[in-house]
Order: sequence, then structure tokens, then C-alpha cells
Amino acid sequence: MIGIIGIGQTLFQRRSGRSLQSLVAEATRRALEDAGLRPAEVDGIIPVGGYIHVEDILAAADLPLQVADATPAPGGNAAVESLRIGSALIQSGQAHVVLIVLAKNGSSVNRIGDRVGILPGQQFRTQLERPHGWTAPVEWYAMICRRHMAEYGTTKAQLAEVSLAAYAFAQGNPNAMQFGTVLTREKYEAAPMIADPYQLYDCCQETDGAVAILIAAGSRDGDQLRRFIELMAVVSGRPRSPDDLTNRPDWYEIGLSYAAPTAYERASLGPDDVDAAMIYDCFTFEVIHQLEVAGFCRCGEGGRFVASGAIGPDGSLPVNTHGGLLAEGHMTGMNHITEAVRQLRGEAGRNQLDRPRHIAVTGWGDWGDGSLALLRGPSA
Amino acid sequence: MSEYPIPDTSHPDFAPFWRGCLEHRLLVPACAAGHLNWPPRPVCQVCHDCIGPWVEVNGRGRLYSWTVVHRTKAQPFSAQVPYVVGVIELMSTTVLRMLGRCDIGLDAARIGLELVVDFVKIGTSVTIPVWRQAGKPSQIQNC
Repeated sequence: MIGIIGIGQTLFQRRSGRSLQSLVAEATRRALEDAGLRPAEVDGIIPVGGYIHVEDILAAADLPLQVADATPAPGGNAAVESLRIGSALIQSGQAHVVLIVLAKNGSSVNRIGDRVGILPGQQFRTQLERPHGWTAPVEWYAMICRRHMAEYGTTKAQLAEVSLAAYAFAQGNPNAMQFGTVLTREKYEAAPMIADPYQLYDCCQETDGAVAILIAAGSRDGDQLRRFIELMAVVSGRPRSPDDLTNRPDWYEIGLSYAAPTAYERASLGPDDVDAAMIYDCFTFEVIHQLEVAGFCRCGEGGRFVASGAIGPDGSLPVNTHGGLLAEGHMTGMNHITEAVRQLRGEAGRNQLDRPRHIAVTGWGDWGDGSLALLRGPSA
Repeated sequence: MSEYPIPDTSHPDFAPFWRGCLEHRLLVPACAAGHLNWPPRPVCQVCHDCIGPWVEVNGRGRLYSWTVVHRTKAQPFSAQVPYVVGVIELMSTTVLRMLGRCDIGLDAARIGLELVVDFVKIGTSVTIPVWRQAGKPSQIQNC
């Protein structure tokens, strides 16, 4: 079986003052130390995020040059998708130890808005969207949210619950960018509007930092038992249509709609077997949306689900126990995988859940490509 | 005006649409079997046949979803906030939804609102569709 054998990260901050190569080197070194491996043992590389190339990583982290590599599409599905690609490199015998690494100066240099110019379907962006002032992810996804509010009665107060839960978890995570920032409902409501219905605290952080993850074949027996986190299933999918939102037959159908049933089937698990979920939370509604699509609640019930307390520390499905993209930092979902690993190992500090066995991690990319990973820890 | 993201109206997949806008007509591509497509792609999304003639569609529709943009760094829109952008489902037998600026009050936006297309010039040579409430005059003169 294939699993995660090491994780490493830098500080998550606004202005790192460091090069991407420096961030890569630190996160990689920490992941290798965590796994008890030497750089020479890495023979597969997956760069995540579109900010850094394989060559940059090899040189920065003093890795062997003759490696197998593959690059996922940039965007928020890349982290979980890298687990799938990395597993394929290992299963096909092309690599034994795969380093998945993301580095970005997302706050100080590589702003999310700058990435819009390299997204798929660029002709629709330039011909049919930008001339009308529809230019940024917050504006695109606000429309899906607004439609859901009208169709299912999802409310602003329910969106607030997602943000309040993320900020509450961040208070137990000293690595979170919003550690020490208390968010109240009053503060949430008083924040500036960005793109209706999204206000400031409905939106994720922009972050400088790096995260590295090492995967390899292994077993859950013997000395590896405590640290080997099995990838039970990793599946990705894309919505109809993959390059345009406006004319999709079903606005709530996303890549995750296809990925989730297959992932559960391969893992022989159902949503009820999942003890916690790390949901790609670029914006508050996208948590509600993906909770529905991943089967944790019924379609249209996501708002009521998050308002019930289900996603908090004592709920039936704690979500984003690190604070997520909303409050820990935007590491393109790599930090959702590392948090799942920490929880399953029992290393999540003040936010540690009571012996979780299975954790789900979702990915969400720019036009709704999505994925589901199901991870199993040693106590399962 | 130089900062306006003016589309390249010579793009082969879109040129007939932009020529239609100059004549204040809303044109969409059809395949040989008559399937209407939006957004324009080189092949029909129903039968995968090549796209052929462009046909005029009814410029009336209903708001399918919307947002009010309050903060943006994009030029020149940062000086125009707050403004409504919506997806308008055309009154057509085929589901066709177009994105556009909605020239309506910020509080008027609601799903299902009936809108009618209008056309405004941007720059010197490009005309784009905007959407307003039937019977109410356009407020947007020049984007």
C-alpha cells in the first residue's frame, strides 16, 4: 500500500522576504527529517501550484537529478491530485519515494489575482467575462453561492459559521496566520463586502510559505505503524463543462461529484466512516458546497449542517481543524493534507481530535475540478 | 479607457458575435443540425459537429445568478464599484446563459428578474451587451 511517510513546512506568513528556492529547501529538509530519509533517497518529484519547476526543487534541496516527475494542473485541486499522480509513479515502478512540494509567496509576490491569466478557457475569460468586470475567483464563486442561497435557503449566518469555526480552530494552531485573531459574529458582519454575498471573512488568506509531503509504498506494521498514513483512495474529476461555469447544466455538479463515489467505493468506506474532513475552503460557501457533494449531508442541507455545530471540535465531522485556507493560510490545499496526517498520527496539538481513524481531504480547482482523498491512520 | 480589457474581436471563435453586437443583434453559433451553443466553441457541444451559421437569439432573459462587486483591483472596474454582474438565462428553447453587467439598482437583483439586452460602446470600435430591466432606460452610457 502507498502512504504518506513525511511532512514538512515553513512558517505561513504575509511577507516571507525569502525566495521560493529557500522556502522549498526548508520544507523539503523538514519532510525528509520527519520521514527519517536522506535527500538521495528521493526519486520522484511533483511540483504543486505552478510557481516553481522541478529543476528549481532539485537544485534548492540538493536532490538526485535523475528523478521521475509529473506536474499537475495549477490550482486548488493540485495538492490532492499530486497524491494520485505520486501513487501512480510508485505503482508503475518509476519511483519509490516521491516528494510533493509547493512553495509560493502568495501574499507578497504570487497573488491569486495574477494567476487568473493562466487559467483554462482563457478565451472565455478575455472575450466574455473580463469586459464585464467579472475578473476574480471571489466574483465567480459568489454566483454559485448566491444561486444556492435562493434555491435552498442557505443564509449569510450559515456562511458565517464556516468562518467562525475556521478562526476558532486557528486559535489552537500556533502556525496559523490568524492565530491570536478572535473572530466574532459582529466582526464578521461588520467586515467590508468584497463580492456579494462574500465579505472579508468569507475569503481565504494569501500566504507566503512552503509545504512538502513524502509518499512511498510501505506497511502499517512494525516500527512504521505510528507514522505511516495510508492513502486508501485518491480520485479526481472534472465538471461538465470543464472550462466554463455559466452554462453548466448543474451549477452544483463539480469534479468532486464524480470523484467522491469512486473514492468511497475503492476504499470500501462511506461518508459515515469518516471522522474528520479537510475541505478546500477558498470561500465559506465552498465548504458547504463540498460537504454536500462529498456526501456528508444531503444536497441543499449544507447550510443547516454547518450551523448545527457538526463541523466544530465536538461535532460529528470536525472540518479544517488547522483553520484551513480561511485562517491557517493558503497553501493551495497542501496544508489540508498535512493537517490530516497530524490528526491521524495524534500530533495535532491543542486541536487533536479523539483518535480519528479516517480523514477525508478534498481539492477544488479553478473551474471546479475536484478530488477526494481518503486517509487511514494507524489507529484504524 | 486604455486600461479597459477590450476583447480581441477578431478571435475566430467569437468574431461573428462581436459583429452582431455592432448591429445590436445577439448572435450565437449553431451546428448543421441547428443546435445552439453558448459559449462559442469550435464544435457543437451536443452532436460534436462543426459549428456553422450564427443565428440571432431573443435578447430577453431572466437573472440566473448575480453578484455585486464591491472591491476589485481590476481596471477600470475599481472606479465603478459597486456594480452588478449577472448570468442571464435567455428566453430560448435551448438553455443559453450569458454573463453581463446588469444595469439595475443594487437592491433590485434577484434570481428570476426579467432583463432585456442593450448595447453600449466601449472604446472606439467595440460594442458589448449590457442588461437592463424591461421598460427602464439604461444608466450605463459608456463603460
